[in-house]
Amino acid sequence: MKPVFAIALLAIRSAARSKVIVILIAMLLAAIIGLPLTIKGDGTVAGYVQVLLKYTLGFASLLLSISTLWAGCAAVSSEIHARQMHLVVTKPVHRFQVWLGKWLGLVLMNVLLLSLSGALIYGLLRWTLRPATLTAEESRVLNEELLIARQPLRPVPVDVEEPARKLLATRMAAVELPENVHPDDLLNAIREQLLRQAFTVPPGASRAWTFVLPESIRNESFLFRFRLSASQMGATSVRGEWTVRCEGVDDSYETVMVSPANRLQSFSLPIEYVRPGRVLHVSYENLHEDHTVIFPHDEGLIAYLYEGDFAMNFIRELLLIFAQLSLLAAVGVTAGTLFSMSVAALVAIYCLIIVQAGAYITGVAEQSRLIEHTGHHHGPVVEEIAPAGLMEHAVKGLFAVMSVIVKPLQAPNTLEWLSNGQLVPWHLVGETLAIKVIVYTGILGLLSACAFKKKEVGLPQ
Amino acid sequence: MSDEEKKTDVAVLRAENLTKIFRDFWRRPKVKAVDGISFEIRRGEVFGVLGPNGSGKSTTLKMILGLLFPTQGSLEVLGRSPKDVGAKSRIGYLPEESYLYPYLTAEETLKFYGSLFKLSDKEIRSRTDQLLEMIGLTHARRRTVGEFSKGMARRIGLAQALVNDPDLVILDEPTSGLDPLGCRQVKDLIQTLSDRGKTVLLSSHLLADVEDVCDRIAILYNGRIQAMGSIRDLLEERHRVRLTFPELGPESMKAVLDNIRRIAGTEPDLDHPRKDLERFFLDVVAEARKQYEQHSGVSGSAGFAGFLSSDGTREKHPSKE
Repeated sequence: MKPVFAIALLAIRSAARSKVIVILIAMLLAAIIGLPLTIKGDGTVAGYVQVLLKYTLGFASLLLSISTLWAGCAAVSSEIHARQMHLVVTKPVHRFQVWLGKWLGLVLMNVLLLSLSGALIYGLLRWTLRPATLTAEESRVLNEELLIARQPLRPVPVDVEEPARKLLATRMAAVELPENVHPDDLLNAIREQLLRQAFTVPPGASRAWTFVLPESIRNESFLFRFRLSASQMGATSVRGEWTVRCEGVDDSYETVMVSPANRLQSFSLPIEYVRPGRVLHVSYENLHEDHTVIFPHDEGLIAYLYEGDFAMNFIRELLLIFAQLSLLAAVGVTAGTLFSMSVAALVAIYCLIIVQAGAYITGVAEQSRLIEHTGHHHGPVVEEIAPAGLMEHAVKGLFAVMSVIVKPLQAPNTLEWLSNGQLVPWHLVGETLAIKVIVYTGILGLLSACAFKKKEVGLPQ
Repeated sequence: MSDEEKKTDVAVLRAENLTKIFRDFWRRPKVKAVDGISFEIRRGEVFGVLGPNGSGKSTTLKMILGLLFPTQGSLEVLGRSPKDVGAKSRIGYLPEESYLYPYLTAEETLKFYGSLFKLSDKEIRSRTDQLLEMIGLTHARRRTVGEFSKGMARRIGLAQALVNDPDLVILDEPTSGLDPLGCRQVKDLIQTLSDRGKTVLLSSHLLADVEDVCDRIAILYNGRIQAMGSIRDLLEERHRVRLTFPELGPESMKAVLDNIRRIAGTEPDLDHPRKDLERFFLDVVAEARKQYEQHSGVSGSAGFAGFLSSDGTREKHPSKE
């Protein structure tokens, strides 16, 4: 391992003694200090936290990602071009060790820069939102809703499957379906319709949710977040009453709120109103006389349970960014090992775009698989699907392969979670580190080592 | 160990029908840089590869180092394939240009290359110190290589090639960019390495340097060996004789010349032997050095690094004697 560490140290020295690192640090500092000053939030504490965490940490992460990719591409290709690599590969060093050393050097540089950025953002957040500058309500929101790690608990989903099938059967018995409408498409439309009905609350009516509580609950208050829209257009507020009752608890918690439409709202539930492992019933009564209230069925109401403090959540988010940077370093070094700097940069950017478009690629691949299995696709059918040609098979195959590669790399928007006070779980961090830093980086390292071994480093440039 | 014992018949490097064809992007043959050459270099030999630009010298060296792969033929370096990483621990290489990292100091450079071998930290430190002293750059150990003159960088390049005390030293234009003092030192070093049973393969345009140090040479042209053999065999004019003696009086000289004319039947060439310019320069510099304790650039070398010297101790630089 000594040669690997020597090459890693060389990569760090190369970065530390170049002007690029000075510019990068200056850009990071400018982003971390400047962005919160230039981007205006909504004037609330939540808005400020969003700007500082989502945009600033996001921008720092983007900046480090781009520089990592670029530095990775240059790490080997520029040394081959400048022939410095001649003196390294003529020493008793396996080419895999060269790859590993370069990757390790970049990763260590990223650890340093990411720690610096993280510490600065955290310090800035704590300093600008120190208790002396906030009202009591702002402090409460900050400590109970934002700078915290809460685990989301979703309600028991509304089961519309049976009523939807019954309704489909009734409709199909009454009216003959047009040729271009498949029964499955109609069933989907009915499902959507029933769900919308289930989450629609007319004036004076109520809507109930059920939560199954976990067996162990920390002794901290619950937080409920909800979003609603009103039947009247424009900036509307709706008055409604929330009632929370837990099995095994005599008293119920009630609160009346005037909620603006289409904005995330929240209320806290003191811990004495809940019992671990029991069922929690939450209902909303629409007290407005004219407006009908509609809850989106995916994020209509979610309970958030206290799991830990913000500092650890922040560190977990940094670890996720670290995993991403490590993978990008591997992509960059691999591209730089296989190609010249300009080609490597193009290939690396192309890889990045593919990974970013992972959801789309997976969607296309799954849809084409579905069409092959069921013979139809969801959505309106315009004409009969023609048999797939060779080209179409090749494209489908390509998407299927890309989907297999990028699917494990898709990750939820944890920066959004962090800025909302939602838990970034350890298991997600562990999985992401294992997939990105061990599995994918390992595969890239092996591929790179094989190709590098066959590469004639001494070819005329 | 005598010179003859050190120079054995054991082949350190063996090339047979070695061919290298460069191809274009579509894998079509473009240039035949090396065309079926065969040669063998034995342990302790100093072997020179000569040839004009584009004759295939560098390509041959790069194939020996595993930087390029032969298109045809076989190549064996220290009994192994050039691709074998294990063999590289016994090879030292000085490239045509000093492809060093400009942001590293002289000391860091040697420590970096030292750490690519299986050497302990203590050994790396010790060898770094010795090599810096040997190339006369101890005073510049903390200066970055990027600030160095070409000659100073060349010396660092040479030092890195020796950090592992190699059995086979491959030197591509080793005296390029060096002042006469440095050239002499390199040539003395090559001689020392050879005396220790090390094998040296060098490529150079400076024919006088090659003549000074090489046991055998190969002259390449258009990728083929045009001539190969020992310097003596190739250069000696066996039908002519040179006689050197102290200057005589006019009458004695006339008598000697008359005798030669009578016996050989030809007019002999008569001139005064001249001092070698290199030797003259070294004498002048040695004299001047006595007057200056300090000067910029390369300081006086303290001899050869201990680990490179034949008995393991520091040797005095022959040029300083």
